[in-house]
Amino acid sequence: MNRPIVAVVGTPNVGKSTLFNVLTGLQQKVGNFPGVTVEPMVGSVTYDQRTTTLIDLPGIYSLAPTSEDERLTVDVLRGQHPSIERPDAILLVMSAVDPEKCLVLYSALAGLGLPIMIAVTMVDAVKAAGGGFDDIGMMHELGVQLYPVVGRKGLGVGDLTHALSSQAAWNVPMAPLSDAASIEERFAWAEKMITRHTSPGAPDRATRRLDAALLHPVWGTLIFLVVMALFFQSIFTWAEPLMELIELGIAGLQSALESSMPDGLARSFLTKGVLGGVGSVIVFLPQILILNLLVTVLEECGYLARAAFLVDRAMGLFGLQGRSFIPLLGSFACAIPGIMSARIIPNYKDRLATIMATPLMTCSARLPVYTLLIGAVIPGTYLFGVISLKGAVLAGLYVAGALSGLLIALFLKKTLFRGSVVPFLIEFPPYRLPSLKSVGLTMVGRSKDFLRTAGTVILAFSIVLWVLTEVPRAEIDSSLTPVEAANVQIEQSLAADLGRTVQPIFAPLGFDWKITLGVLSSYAARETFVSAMGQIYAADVEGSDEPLREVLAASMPLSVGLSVLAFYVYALQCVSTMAIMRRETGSWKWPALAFAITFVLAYLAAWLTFVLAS
Amino acid sequence: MVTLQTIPVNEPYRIVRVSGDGAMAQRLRELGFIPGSTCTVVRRAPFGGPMEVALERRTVGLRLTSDVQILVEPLTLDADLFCIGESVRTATDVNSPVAA
Repeated sequence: MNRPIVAVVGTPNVGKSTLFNVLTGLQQKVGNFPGVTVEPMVGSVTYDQRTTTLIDLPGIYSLAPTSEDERLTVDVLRGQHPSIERPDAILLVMSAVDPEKCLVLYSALAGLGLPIMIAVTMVDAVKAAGGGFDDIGMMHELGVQLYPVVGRKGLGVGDLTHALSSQAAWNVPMAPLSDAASIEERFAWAEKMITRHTSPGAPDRATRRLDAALLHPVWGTLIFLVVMALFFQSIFTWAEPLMELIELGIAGLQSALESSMPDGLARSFLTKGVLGGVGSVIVFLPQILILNLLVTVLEECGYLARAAFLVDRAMGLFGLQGRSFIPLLGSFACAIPGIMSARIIPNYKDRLATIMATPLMTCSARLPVYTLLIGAVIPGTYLFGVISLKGAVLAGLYVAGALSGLLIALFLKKTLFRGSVVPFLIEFPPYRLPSLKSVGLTMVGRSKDFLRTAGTVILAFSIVLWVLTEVPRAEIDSSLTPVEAANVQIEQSLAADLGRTVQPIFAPLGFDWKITLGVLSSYAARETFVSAMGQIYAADVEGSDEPLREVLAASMPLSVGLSVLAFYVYALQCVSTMAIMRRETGSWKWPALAFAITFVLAYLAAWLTFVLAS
Repeated sequence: MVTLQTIPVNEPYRIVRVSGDGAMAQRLRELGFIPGSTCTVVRRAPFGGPMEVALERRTVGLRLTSDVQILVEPLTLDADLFCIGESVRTATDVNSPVAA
């Protein structure tokens, strides 16, 4: 076998992705297969110069799929997928804590005729509880190799890596049951294997006690609210020092360029077009990282499944179910991973309704816009002497977005996606400490994605906008200060022409041509608003120490600031989100509808806000 | 024979049948809701929310709709296995060999 492909398969909650991360390390990327709606991760493992390709397929319980991502796994394993090659072998991940489901799955996989190897995770947890797991005995009876691993600590990973690349370790097993065996027969067989090769440890009292508190109708709900409050609080407070550091670094680079290059177009291009554009976006990397960190930790430790249970009833008010909570929570970081995680919702209509709500969750790209505008127009007073007005406005924007998103879902469930009440079913994994390495690798992957966008789409738009603001060159009177000169240039540029042409559409909302231009540039990605405003208001001109916020504070009335904020709560201004909606729903119809609904809402909300505030 | 929704909490019942043939019924069977196995409703969320159900080897959060029914019957404990007066809770513990 030259570069054999091994499919990593398992039931959900067995630590499959953790093991995949530990095995492949940084040698992994999102698989790029044409026409695939579910993107499996592909990685490679090298041992003794032999490289094996690993493909991490979505979890399955049997070969009878009930959702989109399960269908992908089954199609690939059967060799029926149009673009993903059939793997040469299967690495089945089994949890020693609950081997039953996995054996049931094994009994079906063994009939596929592919070589199988089993990695047993969490053997340490079983041993710690005083139980036993006879891997040798089970190995002999199944007729395939079986390797205990502790993914979190890296134990047994070396042996498994070795085995993956040695042909002798792969066996095509005899199917223990016929392909037509019923699920009851499969469970009966699994039960026999378990009785023969494992002995029970003490029951997991820790998980039971934790659940008694965390799922309690009163205490559980209170803890949930505290967790959510801490969740959002930490995104802001932890990220702040890092953000300041990045800002300092970029400002340093800009002033270094300014002192080492002669004044002119080239310098302006580098400092304003490139550093100004990309810099204003990279600042948000810490927030995105922390948000992703928290979601991953909550998921890996087992709390997210409990949270879904707790909110199921409340989600029912909006025609959704508990599982919808997971994609919606993720969308507070970014709608893209949020929409992708909506795959865990089995029913198509429910998944669609959830996906349509995700763009209204306040993603981290809106945050820079909110932060800038709130800083500029909201007075720094305190309500009742304790609550910062700025903080309260920010919280209000988050709540308005979330509530409106849920109401859109409800509206769609009552009209287009009308159906019966949605059932809810989620497995509670035992609580466990998340794997640092696995969480770390997820972080690295997310930041790469983000930086790729910042480095391409946003850089491109930033450069285009820079050209528009610098062309045609204005006659600058030499008696003008640099700030005045920059303003003269902007007023005569193509950007100003463009802004003035479109401005009448936004005039009822109180937007002048500068804001209009900023809003238009946001349709590439929301955060470009900040860099666009920076360029348009020429705030970072040499000799001007005034930060953008102060410039805006001086020139933007409160009513306009609030109106812009209201617009950003609703507007779906993200090309990538629309592209991912198209991919996940299989049609341009849904992103187009989402775009239309959110534009109308954004326009109405901004108009109402402007009229009421002025 | 009664449905899962009607049984008291923290009392083990034996599953008789999972009716319905959609994706939900299939997933329930794959999670171990099969005739003969034991299940206990651990708690019910208020206001018609979901319930937490402990099977022998795993725990799930579950809210059923009318198209799927889980029919159960009371578990009769063998007198010689469990002393009289021992709590029902102990019976479930014995039945969950590896951590639930």
